[in-house]
Amino acid sequence: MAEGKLDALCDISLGAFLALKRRNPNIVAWRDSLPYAWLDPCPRNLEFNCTREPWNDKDMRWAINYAIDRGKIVSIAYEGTTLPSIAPFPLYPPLVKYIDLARQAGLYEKYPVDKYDTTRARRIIESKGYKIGKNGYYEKNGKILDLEINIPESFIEKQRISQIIVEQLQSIGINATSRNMANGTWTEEGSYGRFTAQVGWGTCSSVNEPWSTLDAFNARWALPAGQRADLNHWRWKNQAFSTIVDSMGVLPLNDPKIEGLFIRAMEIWLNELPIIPLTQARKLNPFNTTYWTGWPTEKNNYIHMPTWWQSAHRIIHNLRPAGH
Amino acid sequence: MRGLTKEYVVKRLGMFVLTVWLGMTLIFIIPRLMPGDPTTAMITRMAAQAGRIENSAELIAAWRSHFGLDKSLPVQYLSFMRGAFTMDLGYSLAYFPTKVTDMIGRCIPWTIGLLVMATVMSFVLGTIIGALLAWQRTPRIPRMLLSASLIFTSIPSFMMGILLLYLFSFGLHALPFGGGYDRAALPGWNGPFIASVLQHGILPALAIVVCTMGHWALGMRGMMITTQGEDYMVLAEAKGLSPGRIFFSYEMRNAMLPQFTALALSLGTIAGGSVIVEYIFTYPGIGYLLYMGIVNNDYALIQGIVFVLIVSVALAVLIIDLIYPCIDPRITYQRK
Amino acid sequence: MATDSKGSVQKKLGTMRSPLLNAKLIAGLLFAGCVAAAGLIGPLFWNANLSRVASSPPNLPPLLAGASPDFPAPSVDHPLGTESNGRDMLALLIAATPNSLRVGLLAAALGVGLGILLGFTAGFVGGWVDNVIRVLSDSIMTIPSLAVLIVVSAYVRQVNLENMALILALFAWPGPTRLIRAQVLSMRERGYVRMAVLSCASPFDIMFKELMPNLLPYLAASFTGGVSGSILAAAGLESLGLGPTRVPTLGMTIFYAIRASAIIRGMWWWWGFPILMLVLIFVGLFLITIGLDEIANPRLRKAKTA
Repeated sequence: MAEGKLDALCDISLGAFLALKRRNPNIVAWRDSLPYAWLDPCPRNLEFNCTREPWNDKDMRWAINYAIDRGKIVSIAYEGTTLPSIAPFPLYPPLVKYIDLARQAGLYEKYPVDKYDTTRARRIIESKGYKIGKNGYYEKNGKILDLEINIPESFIEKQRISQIIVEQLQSIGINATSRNMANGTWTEEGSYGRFTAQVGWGTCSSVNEPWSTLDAFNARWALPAGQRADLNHWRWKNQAFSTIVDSMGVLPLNDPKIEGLFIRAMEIWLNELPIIPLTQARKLNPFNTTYWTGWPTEKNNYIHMPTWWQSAHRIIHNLRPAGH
Repeated sequence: MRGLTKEYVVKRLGMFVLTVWLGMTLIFIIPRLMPGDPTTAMITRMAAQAGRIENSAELIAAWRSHFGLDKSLPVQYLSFMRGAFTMDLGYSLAYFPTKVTDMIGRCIPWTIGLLVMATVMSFVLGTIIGALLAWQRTPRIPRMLLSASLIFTSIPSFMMGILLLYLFSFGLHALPFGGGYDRAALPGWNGPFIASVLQHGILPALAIVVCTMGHWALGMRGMMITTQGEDYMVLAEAKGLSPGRIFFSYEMRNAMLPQFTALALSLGTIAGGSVIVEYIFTYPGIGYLLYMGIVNNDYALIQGIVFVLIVSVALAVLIIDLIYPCIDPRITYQRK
Repeated sequence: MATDSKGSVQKKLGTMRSPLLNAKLIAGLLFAGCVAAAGLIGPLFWNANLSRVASSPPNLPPLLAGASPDFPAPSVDHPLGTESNGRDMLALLIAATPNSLRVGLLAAALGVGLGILLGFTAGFVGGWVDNVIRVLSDSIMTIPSLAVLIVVSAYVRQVNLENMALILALFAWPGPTRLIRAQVLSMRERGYVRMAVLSCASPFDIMFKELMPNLLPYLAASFTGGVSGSILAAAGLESLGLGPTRVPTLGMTIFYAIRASAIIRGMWWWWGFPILMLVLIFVGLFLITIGLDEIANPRLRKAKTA
């Protein structure tokens, strides 16, 4: 792309984008200035297989949450171009409204998802009977506390995230490792429940109302490990939560009753934390305006940015030769 | 042909078959000795493609039974070897249902072009440099320059490739960053395409040549020095032959022979090194295809490419071994 | 008394300088020694934990590069700069060098050990044993070792350094075997060996007391050559991304650098310092090898002055 041979690329790092811009000033992205990137609707999470010991215990999942420093992930894995995530939703304005509702209801004081507190993490783990063994890891009954995180190979972003998580968990005594696998294999392992943890984007659904994503956690979709599940790969079953979500689902959009149901559902969800929300996803796609103009940008947002969705044909039709 | 006896040819052919068999056996056995089960990995990988292609279930089942992937180890081994010897390398797991032989066929011309050119240049240049370094009559300054050129021997060729990329592509903007040819050029026998192929081939070839010619040079220098101590050299000087004739017809010719042996022995290493050079330059040869196979967990493609590499190197060694007696008269005389 | 083609007579005895004071050998030992020292005593002076991901501010250039508008300002805390995962380059070099050296040493030790055993056996026993060993070693030398290594690593993924060394040793033994076998074959007919055989010395005694001392320079040259080759193979594999992910190694650093487009980003320090370290190792081992070659083969010594 630096030589002007390509017109568009998919998601690159900030450093690579700035290097490209230096060589070819005609390269633009969604925004004109930092963070340049477009906010993607699929936030990234550390997702657990809630049927596997000891991660079927919500306290252990919370311990991992306290052990992860989202700020580091944002500043290093993303080079500062994204925001931390404390709910399974993208930060689009309609959903931000719902997250604020949860905050006003005091849910985030009761369940401080965004807190980074390694002492608290260690306390929780030790309260479950784990002790630091001779090689520096927590042990119980002779078994080391380990966590294998599956990563889809072609996403550099996920690999960078998992490297940081692995380091942070290792530093408090959990033998965390990350395992790269081909995309197809990664999806298979996820659907069949053959994983312990993965960095994924399975909460991708809601864009302007909360039911869509919350329904992905519905107990109805949770098939036993070994059977192929379409949703709820995490196999999290909570009947109270599922009943609330079902009653949300039959209401029309913007029905006032939804807010109350939402707060009740989020209370259960935050208490259990089946998946740990990490960061908002962002896509930094460079477009080359040397030969074609009319790419979607923040200032010219006739359509959202993705060139990998069916909406891409609208982008192609909107392109004009440069200089016209 | 002078020097070639039937038993020699048979022996060399036997070595060829043995080398290929040994290589394929190692590829089969070693992954199965390590923790983890390669068969399950392969089946999982195949099944991951299942949702995308029609009739893939039948194709996968047929392939599974053909290669005996769910049978016992000895049966698997036999089907594995059978597939290799009939050049039925199966289907790529990542680009199912493309055949592995098709993918390799597309990439092999690039590798052959680059490697053959670079190896020949490196061998010729290195041998000449080594001979000149050993000859007493080389003047001082060229001798020092030649010695300096050997410094690069210690740098592996792919690291040299990174340096060259940084200097010429990033720094001077003079040569392209990678790829085999300009995206804008239409492949075919036309001027712009051929020009862009040559332009893209300069840096990879340079990396390989500069870093491997030192081996030939040093080997040649060592052989020349040994040759210089032989008795027939004393006789040649006593006869009053010109220094140039002594250098070419006597010293170089006799020192060259072990060089060919060295060439044959090092072809394996050259093939290996080229994989990484192609990866650095994203040069569309089988080295880069191998890397893509690794990234995609495409075990069938990986095995296929490595098989082709082993066979190619063994074949090249066989050819050199068959030519050798024709140029080394000592072997003929030894038989008598 | 040996004569060279110029007809002058060279005295074997009374040469002023001992052959061990070979300039190349000493220079090589110096290089290799510096590299080894960096790994061994480096952790005493610099915090090796800074080689972990997210331990330092990312993308800092080294001090000698000076300030640049494209990167944050260099800092004394990170004299060789940092890379974009937040690792400090100096700490990375200190932590990674011993790992890279270890693989090479282990693989070469195993390879040469096996080579000595098989080479002696082939040269001494002869017959069909010799034929089998010779054919096997020629075969394995022809197989492109990196290709086989790639296949194995692709299946296993989380290759730890010890397993990698084992597999590298599998390809490292043919070279020493050929060498030892050739030397044993030529020495077998020498006077002192025949004396030992006549006086009913056991094969072991002959091997270790008579042959081995004369073979030491060849063995040492074989060993350093093997170390060099193994480190190169390991670095090559790691540069393709097939090395251990959490243990820092020089090859994996290069891999991360290429994958993060460090070349086009102008972050030469990210791949430059690991390459420099590896080149120092190779140059050092190379000098040692040819120095030992010259000790073993006196003709090469004389040729320098020609």
